[in-house]
Order: sequence, then structure tokens, then C-alpha cells
Amino acid sequence: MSDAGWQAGNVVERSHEALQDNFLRGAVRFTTDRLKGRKSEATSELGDWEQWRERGQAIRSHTVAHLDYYLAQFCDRVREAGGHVHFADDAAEAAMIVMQIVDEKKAKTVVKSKSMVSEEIHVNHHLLQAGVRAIETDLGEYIVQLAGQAPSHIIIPAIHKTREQIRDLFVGVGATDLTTDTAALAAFARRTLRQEFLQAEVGLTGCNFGIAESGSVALFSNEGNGRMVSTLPRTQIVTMGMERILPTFADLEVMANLLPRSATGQKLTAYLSLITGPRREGEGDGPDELHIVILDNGRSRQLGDPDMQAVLHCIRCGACLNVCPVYRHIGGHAYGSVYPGPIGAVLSPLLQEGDKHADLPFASSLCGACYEACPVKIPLHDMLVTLRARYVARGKASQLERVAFRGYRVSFATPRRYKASFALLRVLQRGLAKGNQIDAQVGPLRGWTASRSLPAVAAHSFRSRFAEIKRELDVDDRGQGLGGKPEREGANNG
Amino acid sequence: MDEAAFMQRIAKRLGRVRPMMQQPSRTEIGAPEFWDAYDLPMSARVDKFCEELARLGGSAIVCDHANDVLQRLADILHSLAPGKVGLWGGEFATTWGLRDVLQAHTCIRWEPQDRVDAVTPTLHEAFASVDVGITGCDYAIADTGSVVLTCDPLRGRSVSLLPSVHIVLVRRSQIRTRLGEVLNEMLSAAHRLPGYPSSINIITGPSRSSDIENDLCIGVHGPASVIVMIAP
Repeated sequence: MSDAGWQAGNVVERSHEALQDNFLRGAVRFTTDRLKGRKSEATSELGDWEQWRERGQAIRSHTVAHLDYYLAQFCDRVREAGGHVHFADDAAEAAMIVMQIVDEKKAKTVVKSKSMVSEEIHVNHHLLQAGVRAIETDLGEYIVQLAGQAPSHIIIPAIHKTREQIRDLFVGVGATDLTTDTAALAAFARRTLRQEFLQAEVGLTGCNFGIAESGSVALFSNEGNGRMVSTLPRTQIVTMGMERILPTFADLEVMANLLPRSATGQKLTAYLSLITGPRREGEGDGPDELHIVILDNGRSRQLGDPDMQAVLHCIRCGACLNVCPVYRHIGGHAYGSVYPGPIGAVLSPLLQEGDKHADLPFASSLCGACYEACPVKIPLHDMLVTLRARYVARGKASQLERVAFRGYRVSFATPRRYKASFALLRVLQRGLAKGNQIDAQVGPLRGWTASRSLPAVAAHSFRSRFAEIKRELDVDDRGQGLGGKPEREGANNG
Repeated sequence: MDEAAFMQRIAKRLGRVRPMMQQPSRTEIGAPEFWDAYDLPMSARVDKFCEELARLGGSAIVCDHANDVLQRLADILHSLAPGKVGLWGGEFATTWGLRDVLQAHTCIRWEPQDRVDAVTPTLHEAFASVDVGITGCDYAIADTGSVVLTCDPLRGRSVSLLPSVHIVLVRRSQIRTRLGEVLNEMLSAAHRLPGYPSSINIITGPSRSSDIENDLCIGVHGPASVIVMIAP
């Protein structure tokens, strides 16, 4: 299902589509403003936000720089607690591991709580193909799944749906006499999904953090579906990116202060669950089996890359989305990748090599708001520039761009060539320039002039006017030296 | 993928010949120092806890005597008129002296039989129709208005999850200022015991969601109401 949600084309085409959808633009702006506002309230209430960010960055960078040690420790502790650990090189292998467990349990229904990695490995698609029902249970994800779409925001997936659309989707799955009242809609979802929790054989969750010293999986959630999924089905599968590790419980306190505040402006989510192994002997609920699937899928390639290793510090809060001027206009779907916004524009082309997401680093104004918002200080704007440079170095820039830059190099090499090129431009712009600006939408100019004016080349260059300017300046200096006042003002003294 | 190869690749990318076996040293562990110094006196802790929980739509009831707890609990149950009340098993009800209060209601306790037989309805299925769940807790956290519940055979995860109303009985001595203190104490406890409990839940107010047009709604999957009664 997650596959079906992605639109084809490049990021520019998808953006045009998103910009036509007024509700989407309004909703995205409303939500991101709200999240931003609540975040700033919550962070100023905590105080010393910069010190917290510094600490968050220190913890994440230490962990990732010693990931071999901490990941191994985490896996050992999980097994000591009775859990199983699986390792997946790529998305296909991770999906295969999940499918093998589901198959072994002869599961007909799998209930899921929110997990970005499960989107990354397209597990819903695989379950569907095997004839297994995969039910998203996060309210927003459930809505998006009924609509046959993909999430458009990391934290609020159904940001683009109106309550009328949601009512219609619920009526489509059997709701009767349903109003568009929020409480009524939520109550329908609660009733419907409660049945699914009770009958599902397998529960699938993500993992916010794996605690190395205890082998615990930490889950932050608000609705309680994460708890349902890890309490009721007899088998629990956790999918996690291999970098999602924290060394100690003490470090979890820092993330508990950073993550909810950055994501939704909450001091703490309604539930923070720490799951250590399957249920113990004599316990009446909790899974009999706990499987943890640890995914690489391009992550290890970023280790040891001085420009990109920090992308693995990300704690998936979505704060960079909320402040990004590009995301705020085009929304999540236009990115066409599992991870939207500034983090997606860096992460997606890194995880999936090749051209599929290579255009995303260009969908940014490089304003650096993402870096300012990031609770673990990932320099996303620098990474975007580096990714653009790598793209060009791979010879991927367009013919026109290459010609333009070659021209730039030639014409700016000597003063004479520079003068000659501008003389040529003055001739070329005749008929296009009106006053001091160019608005004509011809050829490649359209990329700029479609939405703003291009300043025309001035009729006279500064250098050509310099002799005249110098004369005036010399006269001024003399005037000051003799009479103590500029000569031109002398007339006013009379 | 083979575990050794998976780990070896990480080590190699990090510039090591083989995976690091010795715990790396570091200076910055856990919260900044100024935060560790944050410690409220008990009366301020109670006030802060109540204030934070109220902000989230939960309610905290401070009782001066043990008898108050029972009286207030009886009143709450009377006004809620639940079809079924569920509570932790074992000594829980006796310890809190709940027998008389609960007499007026249909109650089920979390006392699991062997779960191997799939034909008999499991305990969590029985708890699915419970309206009010009553539990104790291990700790409460003033800074965030949270209660911390660990599980064991007589303290099921479902008791605080499936019912629409969750009533938590807390003693003042269980209230800490920060989450970090609680995590630290649980770490020490885990070293004494045979490890960590299989589930620790830090619960902060009722279940909530803003997924429908950003409109906050309460009780999506978990309890719609969280009532914390603080006993002396």
C-alpha cells in the first residue's frame, strides 16, 4: 500500500501538483506553525535548550562513532532477555525476515504501530501480496492506509485529510450514522481497531531507541496503540534502523526531554514504554516471542564519511520539516520518498544510491532553519550542499547548466573577457529588458522569470563610469581640504 | 545477513580492524549537570505532579489520610457506575484495604492461569470489557505528571491499558522529581533482581491524538481518563 501512495515524476513536478491543492497547503502550514509554536513554548519552559542540544549531539555522535560496540551489546542483552535478533542487509532482506516470522506463525492479521522503517522496507506491500491483512493502528496512519496513500508528515501522517474525507473513508469500511465530529470519528476508530488488536497474531512496532545496557526497546507514543501492539498479539516484531541505539538509561532521559518537545511540543508523550524481552514465565500478557529486525540498508555506507556520518544521529522528531520553507509549501508527498523534508532530502539519496532521489537535495533554500531546529544539531544545510556537489561531480548536471558554468569560467577569467561578455549581454537583452528588469518568459529564463523579475544588466558598468566618479571624488576632496566643507554644498551657505 | 559480517562491516567503516570489544570511555553521559541538581522537596513535588497532570487533562486527588483514599475511590466508582472493575492481582487489594469499596462492584483480578490452552479466553480478552482499571505504581514523576508501572505475573500490562478509566493509587514516598531519578533507581533494582521487568510503562495523562485536523482528542486507544490518588 505504501508503494501506491508515491507519485511519479521528479520533485519539481510533484511540487507543482501539491501547490495546486489549497487545502493541503493550508493544513501543512497550520500544523507546522502549531508544532513550531508549541515546541518553542516547551523548550523555553525547560530552559537551557542549547545545552540540551549540545548534550543530545554529544550522546548521538559518541554512540554512532562506537556503533559496533553498542549495537553488539544491545543484541547480547536482547538475547539474554529471551528475544531474537535478526540482521538485514537491505530492505528486501528485512521484509523477507518479517514475512518468514509471519508465515511461521500462520498469521492472518498483523497490527502495526507507527514505524518509519516498516515504510522503508514496504512491509505492508509484502503482507498484502501474501494475503495477510496489515492494519495500521495509529489513527493518522489508519486514515492514510484507508485512503491508499502514504504518510505526508513523520509525526502527523494524515495532515492532508479533512474531517469530511475521513468520515467518508470510515463509512467505506462500514461506519453508519457517523458525524464529522472529532470525538465520533476517533470513537469509531477505537472500536474498530480494538477488535483487530484482540485477534491479530502478530504485532509490528518500530523502535525509537534500543538501550544497549539493558537490551530494552523504547517506544514513545500518544495514542496507546504502541502499547496495544506490544501487549496483545502473541508475537511481536520490532523493525529498527541499526543506528537507533543509546548506550544507557541515563541517556534516555536526555532523549525523553528532546524528542517529544521537538516533535509535538509535549514535555513527554502519553506513553514511554520500555520493552525488555518477551513476557516472562507466569505473565498473562505481552508477546511469547519478541523478534528484533535490525536494518542496514545503506546506513553503514555513511559511517566513516566525514560529511555524512551525522545523518545517523537523527532521532526522527520531524522538527526540521516544520520549519522548512520548502516543506511548508509542498508538503510531504512531493518529496516522493519515505522520509520527507530536509532530513529526507539528505537521507533518501544516501540510503538509495542512484538517481531515484538525487534531485531532492536541490529542493531546499539552504536557509539553515533545519539545523537551528534539530535537537541533535545535524548540519543538514551543509550536507545538502555537499550532496549537490557530489551530484555535479558525478557528471549529472544538465547540459545547459554545464554550458552555463563553462561560459561563466571563460568570461570571468580575465577583465577583458569579462568586459566583452557583458557588452554582449547588453546587446542580447535588447528587446527583453523593460526598464531595469527582464520579465520575458523565454527559453531557460522562464525558470526565473515565471515567478519573479530578473534584474537587467545596467546600461553602463561601474568600471566604465569610474573615471567620471573619480573626478567627482577628487573635486570633493579638494573642496573639503580648502574650505572645510564640500564644494557642492557651498551654494547653500550663501 | 550473518551477524558477524554485519558487525564487521560497521567496524570496518569506522576504521577498525574488528569490532570494538571494550567499552568506549566518554565524559558526557546522561543529562547535563544542572539538570541532575533539580530536586524538589516533597510538598513541592506533590504540587508539581498535580499541576502537570491537570494540564494534560488527567486528575490528581491528594488525600491526607488512608481513609480519604477509600472514601474518594468509593465516590468515584459510584459516580462512574462501571459494569466491571479490573485490578491487579495478589495482595494489591488487601494492601490498600479495598475490599469494602469493591464489594459494590463486579471485579476481576489479574491472576493469570496457564496461557497454553488457547481455548479458554485469555485474561486480556476478559479485561477487554472492563470499564475501570485500578493499579498501583512503582514511582510517580513530579516534573512530567507521570506514573511508572512495571509488570509481573500479578500486575498485567493490560490493566492500565484496556479500560476506559485508569485509577492509579500512589504513595507520597513514591514520587520523584525527575525521570532520570526513576531510571537510575530501576537500573540499580535490575542489578539486584534477575534483570529488567519485561515491560516498563511511563504513563503521562490520558491517551490522546491530534491526527484529525489537528483537533486534540482523548482516549483513542488507551484510557480516556487517568485519575491518580495520592495517599500519605
